[in-house]
Amino acid sequence: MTERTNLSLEDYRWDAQGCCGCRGCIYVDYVFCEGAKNPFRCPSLIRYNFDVYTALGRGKVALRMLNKQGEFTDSTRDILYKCNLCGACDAGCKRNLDLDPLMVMETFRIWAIDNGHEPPEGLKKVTDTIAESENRYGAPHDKRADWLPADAKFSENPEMLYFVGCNSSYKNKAIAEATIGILEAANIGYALFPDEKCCGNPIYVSGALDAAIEQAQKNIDTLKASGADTIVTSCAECYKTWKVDYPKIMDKRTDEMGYKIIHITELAAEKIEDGTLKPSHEVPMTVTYHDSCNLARLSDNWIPWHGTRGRFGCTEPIKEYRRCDTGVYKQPRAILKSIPGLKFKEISRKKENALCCGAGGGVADAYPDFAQDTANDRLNEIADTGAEAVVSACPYCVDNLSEAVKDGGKSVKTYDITQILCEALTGKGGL
Amino acid sequence: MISKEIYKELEEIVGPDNISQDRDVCQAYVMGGDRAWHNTDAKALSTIPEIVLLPGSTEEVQKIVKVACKHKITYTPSSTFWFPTASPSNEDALLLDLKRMKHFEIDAKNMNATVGPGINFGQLQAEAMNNGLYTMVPGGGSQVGVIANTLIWGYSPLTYRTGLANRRIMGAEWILPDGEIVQIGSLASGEDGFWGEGIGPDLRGILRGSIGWHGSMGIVTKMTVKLFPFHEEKLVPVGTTPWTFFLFPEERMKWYNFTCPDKKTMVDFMYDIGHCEIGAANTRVPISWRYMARARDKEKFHEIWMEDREQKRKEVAETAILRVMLIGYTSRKQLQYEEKVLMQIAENHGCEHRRTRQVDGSWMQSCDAVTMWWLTGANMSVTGQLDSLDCSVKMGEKFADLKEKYTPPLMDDHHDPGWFQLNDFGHNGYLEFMNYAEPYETEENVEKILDYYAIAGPKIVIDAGALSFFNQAISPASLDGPNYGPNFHLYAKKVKDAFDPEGLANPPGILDRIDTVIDRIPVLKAKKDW
Amino acid sequence: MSLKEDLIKIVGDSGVSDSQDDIAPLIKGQSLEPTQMPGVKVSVKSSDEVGKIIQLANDQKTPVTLSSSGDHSRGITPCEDGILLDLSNMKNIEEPDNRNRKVKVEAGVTWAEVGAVLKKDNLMINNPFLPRANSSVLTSILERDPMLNAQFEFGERIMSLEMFWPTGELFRTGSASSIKYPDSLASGCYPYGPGPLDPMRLLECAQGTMGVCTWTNIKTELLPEIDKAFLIPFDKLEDLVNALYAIQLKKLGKECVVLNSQNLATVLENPGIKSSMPPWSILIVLPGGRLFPEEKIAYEEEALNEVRASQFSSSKLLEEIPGAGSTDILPSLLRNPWPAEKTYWKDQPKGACQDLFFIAKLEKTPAFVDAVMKAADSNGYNPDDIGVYIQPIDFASGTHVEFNIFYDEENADEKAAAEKVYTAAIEETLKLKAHYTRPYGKVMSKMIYDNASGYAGMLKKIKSIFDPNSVMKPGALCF
Repeated sequence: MTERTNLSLEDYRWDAQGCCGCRGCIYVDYVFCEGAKNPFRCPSLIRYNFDVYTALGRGKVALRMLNKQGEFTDSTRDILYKCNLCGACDAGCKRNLDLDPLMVMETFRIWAIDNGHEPPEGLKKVTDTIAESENRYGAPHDKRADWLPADAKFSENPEMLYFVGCNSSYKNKAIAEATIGILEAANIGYALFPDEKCCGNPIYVSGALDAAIEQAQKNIDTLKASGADTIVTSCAECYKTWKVDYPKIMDKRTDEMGYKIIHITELAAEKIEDGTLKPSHEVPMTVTYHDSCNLARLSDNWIPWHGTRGRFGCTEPIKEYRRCDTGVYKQPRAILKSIPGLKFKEISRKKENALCCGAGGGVADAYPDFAQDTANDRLNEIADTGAEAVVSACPYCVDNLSEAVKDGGKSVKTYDITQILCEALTGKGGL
Repeated sequence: MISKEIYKELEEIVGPDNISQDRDVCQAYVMGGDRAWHNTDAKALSTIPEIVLLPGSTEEVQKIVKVACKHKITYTPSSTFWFPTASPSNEDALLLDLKRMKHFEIDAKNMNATVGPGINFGQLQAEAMNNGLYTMVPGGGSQVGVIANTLIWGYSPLTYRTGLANRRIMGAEWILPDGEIVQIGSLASGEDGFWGEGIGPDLRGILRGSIGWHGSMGIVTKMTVKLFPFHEEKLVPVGTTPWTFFLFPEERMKWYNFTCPDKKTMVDFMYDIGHCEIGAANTRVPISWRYMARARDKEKFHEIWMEDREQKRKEVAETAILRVMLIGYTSRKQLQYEEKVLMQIAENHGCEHRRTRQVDGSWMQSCDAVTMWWLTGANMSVTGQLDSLDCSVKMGEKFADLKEKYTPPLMDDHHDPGWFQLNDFGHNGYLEFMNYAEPYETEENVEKILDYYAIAGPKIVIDAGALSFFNQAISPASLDGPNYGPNFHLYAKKVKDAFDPEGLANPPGILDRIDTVIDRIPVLKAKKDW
Repeated sequence: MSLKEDLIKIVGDSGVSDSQDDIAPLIKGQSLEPTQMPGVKVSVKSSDEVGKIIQLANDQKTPVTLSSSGDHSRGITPCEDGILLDLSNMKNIEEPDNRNRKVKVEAGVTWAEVGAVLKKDNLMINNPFLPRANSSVLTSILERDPMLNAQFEFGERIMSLEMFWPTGELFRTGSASSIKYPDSLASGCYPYGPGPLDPMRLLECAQGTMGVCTWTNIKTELLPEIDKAFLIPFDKLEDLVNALYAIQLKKLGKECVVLNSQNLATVLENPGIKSSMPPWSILIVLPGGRLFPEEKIAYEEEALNEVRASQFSSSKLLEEIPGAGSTDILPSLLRNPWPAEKTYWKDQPKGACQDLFFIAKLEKTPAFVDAVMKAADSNGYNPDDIGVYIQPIDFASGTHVEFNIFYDEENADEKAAAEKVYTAAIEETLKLKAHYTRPYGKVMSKMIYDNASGYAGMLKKIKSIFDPNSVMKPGALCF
């Protein structure tokens, strides 16, 4: 294990200990509570019901480990990893206690690996696969850009590099195609991220911090070597990893990383607003929008804090609080509302209160049944909106929801927002 | 240690997914230990349950209670796990986590809703407002269970119009400590739970008094609560957590802030509001709330709150801010009429109307009082009293004097006398006196704070001849009992003993809880002079 | 020493009598329930005397029946033999506390007496429907006679009380429970507790079986200086029900009462106009406020008109009572007890009246009316002669439904028919799940508690805890 000065569970003892059990971490912000249905935002609690499957419970387990008051058992592992790391708890906690419960759980996983405990088998398999083949699917690394259409218009002096991500490179290639369709419609000079490798999100969420740092460093080095400083992604997970996790594991502020990361929805919304992009093709469809955790509440810039606490727990130096309130919430909605013929219906749990699709935090790999249960819960909520399709801005959300649709024989359609927007811009979104 | 056979018996009731003896699982239901203490008695009493159960129905709860009785095992019910009594206080206890019991139905026409223990006030209020009705949401937070809070407490500024909790219980399905079920109110007549009064003597008189039993007289698995006429114009939710709030439909709902020449005038103003039968809520605003609202983090609050302490003390003593909410329940014209009356009263008293934002984030539906807990990380609780508004004001001064002796570890609030409000359309008043505490849990701090809540606080209330509010549940009954009723504790004990002779329902029970704490802690025991 | 002698030691000679002539006026019921005769009447003047008498009753295992005013229009069933504890001389009314809007009255204070005191300050206690002038305020409220003001905020009129447990121990409730009271900061404004029990609730509607209440602090309210009253006529009760829900949802008016034509004509003391009356009427009073009273009435009237237009446009807001003049008479009529010098309104049609009442959802009242009328018809009683009074409570989230079965006590056939109607009506309404919160009399009590055995079982257990010697009116309810 590398000697580290950050991301120690001990650094978040205050946050685990300060929990009084107010349940802000599990309930939807009460201002946005719409009734008896769907009160929870914590997928883990919804599925497993016992309080330990929440931030408030996991924090107590973490303290027991820190205080050497108990063994790390198989059950402890399940409790720790049956969590989407979706950050719903973190957003909720800001209202009452202003603690960082998500960081307790992230660093608890790091603590577990550092102390010789393995992640769940399914997740371990994925991280091993990434180590072997630089992508989560075990596909040939040299086929990563095979999705690229022959007529793609790369710029020789690109304004930005498109970091495609494993999913759209190998699985949902239509998203990658739609993304470059949007970039081209906006006349943006772009090129593909050279020799792109998995962003390393599964590695980080597994708790294997050293490996995550190594993976991050590879991509950062590549970026530096390219001379570019702006990356665009269509994958919310890659976006959040570059924007939040890389600086987090490097113990830097996001704005000190020397690059700028932008999600395609941020870019497109800006271009629609300034008139560069003009969605003109009708998309006659009623849709709702599913906020990807990674794009929304998890994407505040990272701001490290190291210091001490004085009276009443006041921080010295004074901590700059991250409160899940600067994420990409409005841009996807602005895009959808700009599309002719498209009717937008808001879902009950939305924005920082959204229910995770179920895939996050390694859950889809480690506990696929749990991931599907959560997706089904979300699909029921989607059905309540009356929308015929659900749109997201993350290929993993689309995947997980699509799988639940397929398995459950449901009729709702699932799309990535790039597909919808590309259709509205070019009539060639492939819907 | 509960035997494997008994575990099996319980497992057959709830199914294998809804029972656990795992240490990690059980540890989450310990209120003391590593959990921040908003009520200090938990530090002295709370223990880890032996088994946690997640029953899904009344029948399952009843079967569990019967198994517990058969094997003489103690049990603690919990719905949203807020009050320390939701955590067991003795070894080998069952913890019944009732959150899966999410029954909800609303009868909008007859203005009531029937809920299971898993339904919280945020949900209830949202459903009520969807139907043109409303209720209050308690200061403990929107997350608290409707049943639990209605059984043990039930206050908010909105109780000015929505009444005291005892009146809102319209029906209850109640599993007695021996496992038998009794139906309260119109349920007893085979009807829906639309009406709470009994057939003859009203058994709600056993269900709760000024405080509740905190699980030591059985478990209510379903309750019908009263709802109230509201209006049909929507409150619009806006913002991103933590800065979320409702925009008021301003022609139907409005805030009014007044600065008054002094506290006495403000109190007279409040009385007049009641006498004129207007308003939806009104309360004194402690000046600290303003500082909290302005600070974007707790560091900033403490910095500005501790600046120039003499000046702050003067400001606290001299500032009298009254906050009033008017609602046009009937029509927009009602709001116009009440505003006219309110302004006339203000003018009569020389109070100045100040601008305020027409939004709400902590009274109507979301009552977690954002930023209120930031200051000390939820290491805070309250003392207070129930009687007239005048009594509230005087008790506030007495609490402020007492608190100075316990500061630190309590946070210095510059002798603030707490916040008080009118209740019950002005017929009674309510004082809530907030006590923020140093979060570092040294033994000395815990003992000093326990002394404040469990001995010194009750004594000044008794001395004044006032009635403590829910602190009666965290006062030693051996001290309070002879001074109220008199001997309310002995009558209550008779009832408890008749229904729970073995003392299995959430021991030590509300009548013995704080005496047990005092007896366990030598520093406190030494102070037991009654 | 005899019981009488023991009682004399407590209250003196003049307060004790075993003469049937002295006892009879206090136990005369205005109902079909047969009257039993207590052995001795003892009149008390103080709480202290009450406590001693209850303790004596426990010592001697003697039953005690309470009488606060001698008005037992609901049907009293005193215990045979035993003590009749006459509280009617406990007449103290303390100076009203107008800042906290309450007045402390002892058990013997009547509606007429307290009304006279409060009127001086333009205050009132929200009253039930035309009580007898001599009926006890404390008993009326403790026995849950519904008030005419349907607004929730004005309910729960008892703010605290003093009582003696059936074992004779003194107790006070709520914020009057401090042993220092009244020399205490608290003035008795909060009703519940102390502690986890609520003795007030146990006393309510207990008919004196759970203890003796000697005084209460009762809420007082503004007596409006001006009002505007309306009669809203309906041909069908179903239409009235819909209108009433809509009116109450808008929180309109204070006094709000529903009467059928029989009862409206009766209370207007003009039986001749019954036929010109609408079958059903809502009487509603829009009160002026303390400040700008006309403007309060104006916004309420405007809203009432809007509700009418949208919810019951075929009815009108009448300011004239058909055949009986202006509705201006209603506020005064509804806010006062029936004048003592007049024959009580329920006795006017036929000399006697048996009431039958329960709590129901407003929407079910047509079904209840139908059931009772059919019961009357099939038992030889003209349904048109039955008076009906419907009282919305707490914004009509529940209603008191009352049937007045008038009969001539001297006419055996008529009395027998009334008895049959009464019993049949209980049976029929129980089938419809009527919630009888006040089972008066042994006939009804048995039928009701047999229908609610779980509740009765727990009540019996509670009774045995607090009244181990079973002295407080044994046999009156289910114990």
